[in-house]
Amino acid sequence: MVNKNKLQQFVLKLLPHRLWVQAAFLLVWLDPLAMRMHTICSPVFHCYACPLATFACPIGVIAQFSALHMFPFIAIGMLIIVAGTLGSVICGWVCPFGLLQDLAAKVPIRRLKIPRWIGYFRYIMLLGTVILIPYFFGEHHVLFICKICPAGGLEAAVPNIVSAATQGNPIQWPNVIKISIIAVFLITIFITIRPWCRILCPLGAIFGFFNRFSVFSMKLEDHSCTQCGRCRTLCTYGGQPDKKTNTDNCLRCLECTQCGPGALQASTIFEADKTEEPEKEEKSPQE
Amino acid sequence: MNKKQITAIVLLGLGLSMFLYGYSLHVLPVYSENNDQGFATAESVLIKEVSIGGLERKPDGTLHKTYTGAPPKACPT
Repeated sequence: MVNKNKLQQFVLKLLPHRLWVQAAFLLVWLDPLAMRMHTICSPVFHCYACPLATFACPIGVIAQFSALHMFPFIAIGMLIIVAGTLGSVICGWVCPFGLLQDLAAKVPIRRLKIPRWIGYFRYIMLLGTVILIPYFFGEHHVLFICKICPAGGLEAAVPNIVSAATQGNPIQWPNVIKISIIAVFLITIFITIRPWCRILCPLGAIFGFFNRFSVFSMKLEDHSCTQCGRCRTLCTYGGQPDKKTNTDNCLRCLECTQCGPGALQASTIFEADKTEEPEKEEKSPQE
Repeated sequence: MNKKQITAIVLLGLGLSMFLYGYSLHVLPVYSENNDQGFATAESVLIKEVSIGGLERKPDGTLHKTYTGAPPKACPT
């Protein structure tokens, strides 16, 4: 059994309450104080057209800036800071759109497993619908991210329809594409776990890419791993944490750190360095 | 320090520099809908404008507001 570092001990205490942590963050994103601070980007996937949105969506901002041929220093800078510190911990613990999918995943039905390589579509989404299509064709292109985003459909279009209907105002119906996307999304969250995050999320692509560089880091103690495969069972997103940690597909829910031998731990790149040095010293006399 | 730590520190420095530059120094001229006068507009304000579909770039390369008076409530997309 490996000695657990302080961060890992803290993670193990929080893990049973992960859904509650995600839900608590709704108090940040859903604008309970009606402050609507849309001059600031949030680090999560939450549509700024939503009547309940405290901050601006970074992906929407990047796409709109790209369409206007401007460089979004604030949005990119903020994402580099957050991703460089935490990586995709945001996906696993903070994002409201992830919470919605995690809640759907609680419904006890058999789920379809999807191959890991399908996660590379997220980079295609990021480059295509967020950067290149807006840059070359503007915001009116049918594949502009905000036009095909299920978060926009669920968090903005649906609430605005309900709001207009209850107030007796004329309803502005979303187009057929948007309605289809909402329907497909609502079906797929019951077919497989976190389909948007694992297959298409452009923000998840950025955070996932930074997993290998971020200060927060997953550490695998090779010599303590018994190859029991428990971490693979714990990873509901189909990862193989015992083979490779800090991959871009990992959503860092940190469930795998509950494995029996404790070979997988939440750590930081600075802490990993501290623990590796004494091990080398111990091994050297045997060599 | 190992390579990972140096990479992380460089990235965080880069991110912080971009963020601070965007917030404190980056301004762009935005013209009103009537094309009369351009105002130097901070990037944070531009973020708010794009979030409601309030900006467009004209063929001559200048940025213009899409509305006069009260801003739209939400993004049209």
